[in-house]
Amino acid sequence: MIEITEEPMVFETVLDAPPEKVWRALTIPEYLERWLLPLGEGAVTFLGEEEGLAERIDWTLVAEEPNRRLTYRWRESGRGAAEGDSLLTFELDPLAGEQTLFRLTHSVPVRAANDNGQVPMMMAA
Amino acid sequence: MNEAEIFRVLADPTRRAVFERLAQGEMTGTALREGFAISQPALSQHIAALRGAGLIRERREGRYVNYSVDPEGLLPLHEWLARHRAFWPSRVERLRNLIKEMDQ
Repeated sequence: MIEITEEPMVFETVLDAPPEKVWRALTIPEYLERWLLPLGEGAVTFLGEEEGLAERIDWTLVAEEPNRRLTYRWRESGRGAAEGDSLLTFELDPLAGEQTLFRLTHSVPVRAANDNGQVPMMMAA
Repeated sequence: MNEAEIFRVLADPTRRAVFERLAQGEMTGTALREGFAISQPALSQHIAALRGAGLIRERREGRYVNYSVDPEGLLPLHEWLARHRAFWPSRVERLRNLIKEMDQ
């Protein structure tokens, strides 16, 4: 049986810090560079090639609800790039004992041939 | 064929529906068109785009052409997913370690 589509990638874990602290690690470039990918030009471009991803990844804030939810657009270019944009969403839920339930969702990139590239679509399962 | 082309071709909802229909099994263009409110030329364009992306193939049988899904057509898409599936868990672990080192 052939499956066209897959669920978006979802990763969930409990982190030993309150959401406010996790939020800073997800929004401050100096921290992002330490856990995510090397920063390229500007503070919104990452270099992914060393990690087997696209040469260049531009990410742009799409939506934020401070300390709760954060969505970036993930746009690959250069070697190894998928043409479409995808969305990277972080969700933070406070837990007892200064902990956070952390959920990362990465959608599959799809760009309609004739749209303006601003609205990534998810390929539903 | 790379994943960029596959993503672009499957972004069209009608084309994706045509592809999903073919995933059920080989069929002629006439059978494929049943149930779709699109013209023959429109269907032909979708078929051409899907073929161009390596997602489907055709087999001639007399005056009929049978279409079917190319089982290898989606490999680049699956490879893209596999690369990212491998990437994220290691990053989440790095985030976990960074948080331990951060000041309040």
